[in-house]
Amino acid sequence: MRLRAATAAAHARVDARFGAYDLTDPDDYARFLIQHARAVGAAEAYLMRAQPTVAWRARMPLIAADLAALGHGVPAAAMLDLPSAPNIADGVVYVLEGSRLGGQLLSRQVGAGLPHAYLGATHLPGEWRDLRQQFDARDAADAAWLAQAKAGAEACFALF
Amino acid sequence: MTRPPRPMLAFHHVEARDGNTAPTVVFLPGYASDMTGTKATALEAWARATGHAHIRFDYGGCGASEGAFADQTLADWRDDVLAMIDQVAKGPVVLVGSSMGGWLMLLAAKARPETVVGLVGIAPAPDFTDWGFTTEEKVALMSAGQLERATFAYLMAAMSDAERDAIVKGL
Repeated sequence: MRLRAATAAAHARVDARFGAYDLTDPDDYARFLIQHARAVGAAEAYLMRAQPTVAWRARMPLIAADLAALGHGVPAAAMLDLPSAPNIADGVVYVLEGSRLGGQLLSRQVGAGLPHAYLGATHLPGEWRDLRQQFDARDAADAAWLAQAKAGAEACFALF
Repeated sequence: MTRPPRPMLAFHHVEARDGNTAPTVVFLPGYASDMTGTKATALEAWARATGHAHIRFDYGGCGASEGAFADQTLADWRDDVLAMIDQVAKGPVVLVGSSMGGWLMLLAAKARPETVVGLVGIAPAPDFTDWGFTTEEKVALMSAGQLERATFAYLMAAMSDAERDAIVKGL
């Protein structure tokens, strides 16, 4: 998938950042979730109006439930100041839906007894493969897609 | 195609003190937020103290309202705002929109231009960047980190003096 290669540097920065949290510690885990709630809230709110060409599934209610169980409310969302355009929105979907893979790995680090609805929300069977194929098909069909999806993906990575 | 009816919505309505004919103040929460947040409750406390009519509510699928979050669209949530205006406020309103609520308040104002008499945005997230650019231009501007300033300059250039004044006062 060309989009993955095109956004690898931004992706690596986010992975490095979230490796620093201790998810077995309730306070550190809550700080991790609050940071994600700001980013995911901004990105999902953008997708509500931007109409991407591919399907996505909201996880903000899951973060809100985890935070509530830890005694925290939902923080004010950050802003994703991107134009509403389907190709740009596809890049945001790539980051959000792709992050379910990293979430699955991180969910194993969450301390026993701590809520993990958000990190445990994995892809449905075949869902990520289908999504990657749709991105590749969009890339093949539209010469402008890669640059626009890359811009959306990098703006979304920068939220985290 | 007919859309299914909206879920039952939870709301708190404070009626105006006798003799207060000012518009009802309606708080519009942000994405995945609800009416128990500090902004909504602070605004209601102000309304009670000053005798203003006030409404805070939860969008379908959010907070105490019925419905599944995953089924909701932006158009659904706009309709929820309109339901509060039409069926609860039943008169002129000032909409106070936080974050995504700032986008919904513009959609509601467009749908009820006679009833919505004022808009207050709290870190609103409307799509100001859409006006007048092709997608290619937007991407070029974004990668140069210039979109916000360029859009602003572009809009200002396209406006009349009166419109410019109104926008600048609102910033």
